[in-house]
Amino acid sequence: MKKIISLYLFSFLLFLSSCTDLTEHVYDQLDGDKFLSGLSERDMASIMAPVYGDMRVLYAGFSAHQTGSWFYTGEETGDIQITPRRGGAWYDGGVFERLNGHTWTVDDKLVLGPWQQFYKGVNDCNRLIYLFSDSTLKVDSTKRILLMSELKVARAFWYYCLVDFYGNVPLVTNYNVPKGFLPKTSPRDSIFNFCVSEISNAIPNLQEDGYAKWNKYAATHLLARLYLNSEVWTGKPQYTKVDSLCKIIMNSGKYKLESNYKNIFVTDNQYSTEIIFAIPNDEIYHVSEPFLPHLWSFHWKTYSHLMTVTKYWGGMCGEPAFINSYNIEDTRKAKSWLWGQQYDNLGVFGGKGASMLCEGWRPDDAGKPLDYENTFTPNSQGVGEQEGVRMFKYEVKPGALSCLSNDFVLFRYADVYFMRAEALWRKNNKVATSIVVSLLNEVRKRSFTDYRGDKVLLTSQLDDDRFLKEYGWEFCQEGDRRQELIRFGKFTTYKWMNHTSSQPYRVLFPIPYQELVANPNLVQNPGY
Amino acid sequence: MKKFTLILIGVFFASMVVFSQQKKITLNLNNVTVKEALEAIKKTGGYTYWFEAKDLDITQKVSINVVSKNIDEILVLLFNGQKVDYTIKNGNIVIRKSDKKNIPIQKKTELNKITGLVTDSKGEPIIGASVILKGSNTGTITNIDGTFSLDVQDQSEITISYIGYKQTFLKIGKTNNYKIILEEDSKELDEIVVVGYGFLKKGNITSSISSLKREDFIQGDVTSPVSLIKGKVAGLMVTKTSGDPTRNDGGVQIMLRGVSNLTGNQQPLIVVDGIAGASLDAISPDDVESIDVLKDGSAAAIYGTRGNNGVIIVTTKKGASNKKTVNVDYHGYTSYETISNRIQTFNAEDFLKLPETTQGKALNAVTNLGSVTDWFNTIYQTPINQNHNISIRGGDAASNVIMTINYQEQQGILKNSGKEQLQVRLAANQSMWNGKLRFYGNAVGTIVNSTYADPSNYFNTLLVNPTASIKDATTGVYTLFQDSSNPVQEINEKNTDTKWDRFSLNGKITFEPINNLNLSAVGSTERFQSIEGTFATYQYYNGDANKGEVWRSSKFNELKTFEFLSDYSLAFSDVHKVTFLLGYSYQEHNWEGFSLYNYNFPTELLSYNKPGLGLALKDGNASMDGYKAQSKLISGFARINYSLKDKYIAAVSVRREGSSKFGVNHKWGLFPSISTGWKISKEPFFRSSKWIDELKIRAGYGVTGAEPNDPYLSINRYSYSNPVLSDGSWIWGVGPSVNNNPDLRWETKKEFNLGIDYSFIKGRISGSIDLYNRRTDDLIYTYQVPVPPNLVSDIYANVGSITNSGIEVLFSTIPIQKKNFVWNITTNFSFNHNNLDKLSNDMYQRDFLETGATGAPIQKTTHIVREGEPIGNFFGWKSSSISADGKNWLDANGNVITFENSNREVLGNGIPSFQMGISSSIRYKGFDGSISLRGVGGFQILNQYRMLWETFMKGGNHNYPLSILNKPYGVDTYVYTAPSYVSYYIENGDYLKIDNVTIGYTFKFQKYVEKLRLYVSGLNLYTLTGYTGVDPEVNMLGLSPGIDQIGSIYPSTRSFSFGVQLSLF
Repeated sequence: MKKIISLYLFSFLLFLSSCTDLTEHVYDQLDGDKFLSGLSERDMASIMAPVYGDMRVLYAGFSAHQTGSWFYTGEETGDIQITPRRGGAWYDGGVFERLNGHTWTVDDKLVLGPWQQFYKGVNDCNRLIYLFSDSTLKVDSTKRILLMSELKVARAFWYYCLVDFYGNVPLVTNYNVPKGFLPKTSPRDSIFNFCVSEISNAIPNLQEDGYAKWNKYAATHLLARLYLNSEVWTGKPQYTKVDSLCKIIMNSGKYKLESNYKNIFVTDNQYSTEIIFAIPNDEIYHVSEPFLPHLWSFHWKTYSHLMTVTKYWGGMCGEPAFINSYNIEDTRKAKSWLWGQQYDNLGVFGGKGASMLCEGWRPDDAGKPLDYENTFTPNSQGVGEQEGVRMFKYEVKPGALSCLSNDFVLFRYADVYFMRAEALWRKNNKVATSIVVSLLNEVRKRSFTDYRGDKVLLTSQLDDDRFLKEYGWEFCQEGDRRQELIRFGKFTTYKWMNHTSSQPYRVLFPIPYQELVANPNLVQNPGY
Repeated sequence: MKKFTLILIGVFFASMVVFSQQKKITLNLNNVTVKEALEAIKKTGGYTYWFEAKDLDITQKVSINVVSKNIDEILVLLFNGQKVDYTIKNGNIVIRKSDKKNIPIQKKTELNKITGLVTDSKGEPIIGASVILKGSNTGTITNIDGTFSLDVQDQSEITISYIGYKQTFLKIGKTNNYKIILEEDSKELDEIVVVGYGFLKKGNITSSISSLKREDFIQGDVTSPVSLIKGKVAGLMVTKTSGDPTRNDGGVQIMLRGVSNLTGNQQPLIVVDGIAGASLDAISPDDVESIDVLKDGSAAAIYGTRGNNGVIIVTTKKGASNKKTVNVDYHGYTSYETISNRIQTFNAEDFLKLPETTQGKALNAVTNLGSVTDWFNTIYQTPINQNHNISIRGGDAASNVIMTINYQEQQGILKNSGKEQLQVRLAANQSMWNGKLRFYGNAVGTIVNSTYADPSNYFNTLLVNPTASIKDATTGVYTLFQDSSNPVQEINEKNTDTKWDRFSLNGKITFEPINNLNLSAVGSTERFQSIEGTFATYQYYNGDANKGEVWRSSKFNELKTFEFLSDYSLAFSDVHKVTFLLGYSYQEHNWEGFSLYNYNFPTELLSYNKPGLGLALKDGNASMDGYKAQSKLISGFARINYSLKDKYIAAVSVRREGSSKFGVNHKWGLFPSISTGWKISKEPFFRSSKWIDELKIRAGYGVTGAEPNDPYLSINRYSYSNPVLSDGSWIWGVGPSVNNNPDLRWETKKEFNLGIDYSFIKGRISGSIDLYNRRTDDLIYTYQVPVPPNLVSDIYANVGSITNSGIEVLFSTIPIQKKNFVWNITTNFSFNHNNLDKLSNDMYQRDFLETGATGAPIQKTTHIVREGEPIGNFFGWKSSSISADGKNWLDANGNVITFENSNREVLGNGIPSFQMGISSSIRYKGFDGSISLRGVGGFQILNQYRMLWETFMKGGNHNYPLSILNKPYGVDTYVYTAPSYVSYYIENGDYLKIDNVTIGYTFKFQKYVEKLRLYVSGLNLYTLTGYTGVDPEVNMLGLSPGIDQIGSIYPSTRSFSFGVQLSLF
């Protein structure tokens, strides 16, 4: 009996020990540890790709208008662009009204979204810098220096965004941190100084060319932008440096102003001579974070009018007062905004037929012509579906899908003219000199058929308001409006639809509530 | 009560025993005990023995060497020297102390010879019942016809008793012929209950287990096995949230004893014929013999990391029969369905009158598109369903087989939807070497064809303008709407066909090297494969650029199981009885699939059959993808069941289990349990009570676990995504996709259960009461973490705790129990209280979660999950009135509600807190009738359809619910606000349903046909509720329960069936 029982127990234990292997096998993804240990030269481009891929979150994503993005937040908090409530649509719990009226809260997703996007960018750079500093990796030293320099500029760019939006943020530069490490908040000027020194050190090692890469001139442009904002961000004016950096770009001969403003924003704008740094989009290759300002802006019926495959959601539009400020002969108005009656395609793709009518998003509008007009007649149901002129700066090609192929322009040559003009103007105590106005006129003149008379900017005309308008006419819908308004001190004082004035602390966003909960070392910005 | 110390041998395989009296037995036994000899005979012949321990000395040593002898001859040898008699019938051998010598052979004239017939309550004769003259040792036993004769004196009393029946007393009167009916002795106590990896007598259960047999099931047009026990098990909530016939799960949600996690996975572990994790969707309800629900932790702990949500054990019919014969059963029904409740909207005429009806207060005008369309009828059909089931069983104890064939055809209530299913099952048992080696094999194949219709089309019919035409009369182009799709266009122009098969094969070999030690090896594979094709025609896109669209996908998944089981039972005299179970289990789950999408086809004629033709592929707009993953579970487990004097019982189990889904630092968990029972009614002080049959107190404590839903959460994974332009060409980026958590582990539930089982008045009243408290710790949820240092901003971590506590009451009574008239009532009641104890720890912080979504245009979260509150709380704005112009909601102070987040409050809870079920059945002669009612309460429903559409604010383009003419809060105005998330749209969900009524009649025949039953049955017949939506049975799972989700719910139906059951022999 005993023998049998022990035999039985023995055989059981044999079974028990025979298979206890719980190792997981991953089939449709890579086992990170194995992948990195077998890394080869062939994988380098893919490994580096997130550094540039991450930048698409600046403007893209299906719900970026709800969850926040650098572009959406940077424009909607200002005086040019607005997403008004339209009947039952585009209310979304009041997020757009809060953003536009400077009443955002610490737990608004629009405040959280950019923070997370920026730090994801930082983290990917940190991760790759850590990876490339591993000498066992088979990369030759020149290539390693180049990659490292690109990475450091890319990281500095994210800190530039963070220092602009949130000011005082944690500065994390290491990837290999101990478990449970929680970074502490650093003051705004130390973040600023970090960006300046990283970029300055990297510039000599960068390539002269390379589209959509952190090359020498894109990095120089970024550095100039930092110095231009230095007075606001650190209290220390550095306009001379702006001037000399702009001159470096100008003297390189690499870039040229487009003769036609629209060329910068066409579907195939990668050939534009004016672009210094763009983030490439492609309707085929890239669809996961689509470039879709057209979806946010046009009425769904506009798909017939514009002959596109995709239909739209119809919310975002221009602020009437700003639209009215264009000079009547300024072609940039028509090249930036969509006006007028929308037409059906008669059920035939590509055809243009009858005038389309409103559906009654506000009941009273039902049956009115769907005619984008530059007026708002708000009532308790918001504004009408036909009200407001639509964003039309980026070309929407016939047959367009929900993802556009137009590359998003981050830095362009015209901005070098503007930065230099502003730096010289500020250095001269906001008194315009002829060189200042000639820099601005150089950019302005291509947008007028007959550039003379009252169309030409005069030194006597250039004050804060005019300078801001010049920025707006040239650079509306490009994401920098918030930064411009703050630099000119008008962010909390100008009036627009949902904004009459706001507390000065609103020039910085709060540290998002969720992040404060997740990291108790963070310090909230004053005022919040 | 006379003390019976009975040994029941062979219970474990009682249901599989087949015997033959004619069978010749060969034995070669030397110097064994009588007990061992009896067991050897049992193995060969399949007999069950009944005797009193005091009558037969089973320790006596005997030697029997016979070749091919009858059982009678063997028993004579076996009992040689013992003063016993025996009777054999139907595989039962009743052994009694021989009384022949004690009958005084007196031929006095005062003695009367009486005769009698002893039967059970159904009129079947009882063989071997003892008939004893009271106050003496004189008596006899009934013969093969159930009759006896006995010489008695006048005025004497006899007692008639038989194992399993109540002892009966009879006073002898003037007549000489008596008919005695023995009532079954609390038969439930001897019922077999399936527990994890074994069986127990119901009387020996120490945990909270509900066991339901065929006769308890819901009848009628039931297509999902779990629906068979809807409303029948206290604490188990079964909700049918969809009438979609194509869903594999039948649209059924299950929740046992409340919400125990944050991941929304409340699915209990399903065990089918011993295979844990098997799938229910391939089992025809006709094939189900019993369903056992292991509710508390002490019962479920033997299933380790999968026990948190309880365990549902489904046992299918076996090829057992009591005699060597072939049985053929047929069950077929046909049924038709109607929508259970149709939401009323305006017809074209009333719609046009709306400005007039509302006296211009709400609408100045509506859009008259000039047609009249009853949209509901354009997509609605009356489904006719049918089901045919044939089962053929045959064989004997050593070798038997069952084959079942099931065919089902179900139509959907929306046009172009339905399902056709064929299932064949074959199971066989074979034993050899006198039962020392046994084989079991089971093969099930199911093939299904289904056509899917999108449930959103039902809601679209409520929204579209009733004056719109379906198509433009001249161009034939479908009418387009802003607020919804054209439902006819969707139904007619987009079709999804799915074909799937499931094959399950399993085998078991059991070896019994010494008596009562069974060693088994179990191997099983279940494979599922499906292929799906969807085609959208040119018309689906109104002639737009997309010319025809095709989606194709294929899935495969597989569950492989290997188990090694051993059990051993020992009895030390009559006092101690112990059963050991030891097991090892290995399970591997693999799943993979791929899909593709293409559009711009040159023709519609090829449907989805030539997906490569779409030009979108050439344009770069087609897509394809695939996936593959694997998970493993490995465990060892043991259990001891112990019984002391059959009064004190205990069970202790432990499972050590590892899951590949756990983090490297926590691969293995330990899940122990202990439970005890005390049969108070067996104590001497209770014996005097005649009306108490059984009273048992039990207490159990068990630890179970739950795995994460997804694999690989602890592995540092890189994935390719987000292509970028690099040096002029587009390349994939690669980078980490998740924060891996090497510390991820199981959720741990610790549950204490206290219960009472009772049975009174000869089983006429019985039931149980259970109290439980279950706390789940280490809840898995997504937590926000800072980036950097983390890779992405969330991580799966074990943090929170939830407690559920409640009471469950089961009460059954048999008000009438006569041969031709039986009436049963069973009721159950359960109440559960849920509380989220904790959501944060030092490392991961969350004050609360906001979950759920109102949908556009409100874009608010609907629920809050907060420490100290139950899961499922609605969190929004409390409305108390509406402004005079109907344009603003007002709060309790009469102020306009501004929809600031800070003004929100808890408005109700979407998870029912109590459930009540009542089932009653009546059998009168050939008639049978049954009814099942179910009441569910203590919860609220957010009526999303009303919230989004019951306001005139959206203009006169589309239709409205009739309820829009209700004036809220007695204010003389209609709702004219923007759609808002206010308490006005949160309704009480409480309901009482008549789930099932069945009436049947059974004909009995003498030859060929054993019985023929005809019945009619109705399902989901009537709902008593204040809720105004289609059906108050809405989603109860996840963190945002109780939303009657617009557009995603296939309307529920009511069905009526006519069925035939036929048994041949």
